[in-house]
Amino acid sequence: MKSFTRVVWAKLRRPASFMLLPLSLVPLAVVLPIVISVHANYVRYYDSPPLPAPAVALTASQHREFTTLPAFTGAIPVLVYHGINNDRDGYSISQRAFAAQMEMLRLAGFTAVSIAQYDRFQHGDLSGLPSRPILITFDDGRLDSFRGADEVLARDGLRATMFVITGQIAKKNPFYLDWTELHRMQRSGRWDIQPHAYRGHVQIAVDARGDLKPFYAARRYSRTTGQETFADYQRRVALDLFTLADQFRQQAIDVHALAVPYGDYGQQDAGNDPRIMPFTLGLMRSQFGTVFVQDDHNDPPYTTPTGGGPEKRWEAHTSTTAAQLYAWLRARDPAAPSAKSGAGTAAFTGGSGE
Amino acid sequence: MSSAEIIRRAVRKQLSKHYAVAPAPSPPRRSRVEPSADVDATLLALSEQNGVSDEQLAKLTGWSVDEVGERRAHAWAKAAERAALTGSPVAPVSEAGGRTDGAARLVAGAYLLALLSAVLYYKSAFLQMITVSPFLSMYGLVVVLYISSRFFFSAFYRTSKNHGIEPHVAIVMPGFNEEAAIADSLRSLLELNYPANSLEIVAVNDGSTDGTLSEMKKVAAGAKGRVHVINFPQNRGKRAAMAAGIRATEADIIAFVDSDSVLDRDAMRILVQGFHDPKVGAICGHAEVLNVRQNWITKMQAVRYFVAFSVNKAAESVFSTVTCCSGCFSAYRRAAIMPKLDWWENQKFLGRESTFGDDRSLTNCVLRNWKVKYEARAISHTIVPSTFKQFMRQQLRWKRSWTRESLIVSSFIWRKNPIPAVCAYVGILLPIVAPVIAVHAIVMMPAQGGGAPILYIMGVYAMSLCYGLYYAARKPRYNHLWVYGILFCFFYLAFLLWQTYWAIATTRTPSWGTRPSTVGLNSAEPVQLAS
Repeated sequence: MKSFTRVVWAKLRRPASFMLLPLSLVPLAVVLPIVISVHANYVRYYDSPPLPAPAVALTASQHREFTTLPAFTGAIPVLVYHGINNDRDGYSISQRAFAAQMEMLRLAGFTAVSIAQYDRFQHGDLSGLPSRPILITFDDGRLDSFRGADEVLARDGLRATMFVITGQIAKKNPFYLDWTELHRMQRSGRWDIQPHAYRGHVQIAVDARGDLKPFYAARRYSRTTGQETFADYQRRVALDLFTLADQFRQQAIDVHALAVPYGDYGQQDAGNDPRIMPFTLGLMRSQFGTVFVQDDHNDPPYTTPTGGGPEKRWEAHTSTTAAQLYAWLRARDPAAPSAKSGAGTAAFTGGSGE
Repeated sequence: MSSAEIIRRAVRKQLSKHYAVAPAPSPPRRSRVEPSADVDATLLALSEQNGVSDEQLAKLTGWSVDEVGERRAHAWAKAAERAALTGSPVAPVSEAGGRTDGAARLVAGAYLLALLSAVLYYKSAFLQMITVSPFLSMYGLVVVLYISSRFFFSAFYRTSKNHGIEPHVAIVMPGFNEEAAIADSLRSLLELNYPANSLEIVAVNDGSTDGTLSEMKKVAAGAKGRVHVINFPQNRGKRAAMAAGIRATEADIIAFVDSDSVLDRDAMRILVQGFHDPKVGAICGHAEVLNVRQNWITKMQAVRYFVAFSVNKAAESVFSTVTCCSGCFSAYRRAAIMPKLDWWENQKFLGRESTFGDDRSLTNCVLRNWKVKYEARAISHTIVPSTFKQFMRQQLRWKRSWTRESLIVSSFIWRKNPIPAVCAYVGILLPIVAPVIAVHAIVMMPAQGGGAPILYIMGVYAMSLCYGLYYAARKPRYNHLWVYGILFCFFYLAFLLWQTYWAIATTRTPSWGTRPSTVGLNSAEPVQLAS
């Protein structure tokens, strides 16, 4: 027996020695994911301070063009941005373009309001509103939004509201701002932190064909359990929204509004159940206050006090220019004599986005 | 069997393979081999011309099949080298390694390059760390750059051309209580492929209390005046013995060969070719581990020696600034050492006489004003420590002399080419900083909640893998020994790293720690590995 093993070993020795080469890769392969995640965190950690505001050089004609708009009362335009980077992914805009838009807002005479003030406005309290108020919001709580926007907002004396996805914070996803940073932002007085979703900022399958709809907008379908009942839908959505509200209570952050993920609370094509929209909208308004969505043609009027919305926001896209934003603001300005509905949409039309 | 006995047998065995000095009985079938032919030719003749298989050869020689293959590969390399040197044609019957060896080596080489690039890429991806934790990240960056630079510069290393010069060489061999091996060692030197009238041997008996002197005299009597014996009635130390040997000869080139080292027959002839350049003051030969198959400790050292010589020394040689001409086998120009000989013999460090580290110290004397080269084709085979205790002691001794001589090197290397100067300073700094970093990574960081030191360990692993792969890629016949390169680096991390401060604190100590039983222990330091 012993000699048999020896014979086998003698035969295997050399092939085994060759196998050492690929085998030596195993520890490297095991560690590779760790290295990658460490690197992501490293980049996240050391690349988190705000970027310096880029110089904005508006041309003389732009200076002439972006004249101060007529003062208005009883309405507030609401803008929504998603991210500030150079990805040209449709929704993120470059820091340069963002800075130009903010500079334009300053020239046009706008003053950004806090979400608390906007909340009072929604409930009919117009006291203390500036002559040209505007609400600037960011969806998703992305790090790149904060990095790109913070110094620009500071330079132009503006402020913004950040709607965050708390599930991503819990996952420590380095793409998103964490609680420490969010609190720091809020303390700076330039930012308000508001809820966007807990785990509900995803698309789910809603039928056997595999069609996708937003988490809050439709009854889910799964191959094993079939279409979820409306009661199950209610449980799922309510649990997510209650958790979201509870997390904000734990963070001691006052909640005044909710930006609905994908701008869809079941109103688009009636979800896949007509009961969804009234249930979900009611739940959102009761839990969070004003509910924000986007506009199908991206040409919403300025928001007015409705006691909780849903209010439509004007959405910035990758290709949006300051001139386009100015055109919309001017066209929708309730005090402008030449205000005509739809004037701002000539240059662009965008569907409601994420 | 004591380890000394094992070593003695290994030397005898090796000598008997190379030279006709073996009184040991050999198997009858071996008698058809020309007894004085060197082992290379023998193996070639047996395996190629007579169609003897490796298995049969293994039976004949008592080696393992693997070893036969390795030696055959080595023999071909040797034959090719000899042909290149002497201009005589060699019949290229087969490649050094088989086709699988070639493929495996290619894979190892490509793997090495990929790994080095990956590590550099990794470092560049974390470059910004320098602004956050400058000390730690600079250290990591410097280690990576230092190691890559060794590989990079060694790629430019070229062996010296054959100028056909045969200067007058004297081999100085001091001996202290080495009765058993000294005669074999001396006779093997007489057998070197070098003109008899240009090669003399100076044997110095350093007050041995055994029969070393009579063994020396016995060899001298049969050597037609080529062996001179100098006798110290009292033990005066290795340096005194070496200095006396140097003074006793008029030869232009003084060579030192460890009593534990065996030279290839052509080694001396190849080594001296570099002296064709009149600015070259010293040349260091290549050392392979003779008792490589003995156990895991010697296997580790085999990889370490190979890398230390083929990478580190070769890299230094590109700039003619080899900082340590290993005592295993090296040669000096007489004119380069004579001015410093008295100083060297009585070198004092912090008021105490420096005993060990003679090779590094002598190299430093020459390096100040001369070029110092490394010759990869001049190969010696040396016996290395095979027990943990011996190995640790030897390493401590090397570290002590390394500390002392590093201070001396630092004082003048900046006047040389800036590249080797920077490398030398970095090479001195790294081992001093390394233990701090290791403690920080392995103890402090996890204690502060920084998590397991996975990345640090992986860094060590990647470095060790580089060394191992280099060994695998460069050896003519692929074998598994390269894995011991990985083992060595972790051994270094576990045990040797921590000696540094103790060595610095006790640099002045004159104790060899191992004398009088120097067998297997006076092989000199190849070079410090950065870690």
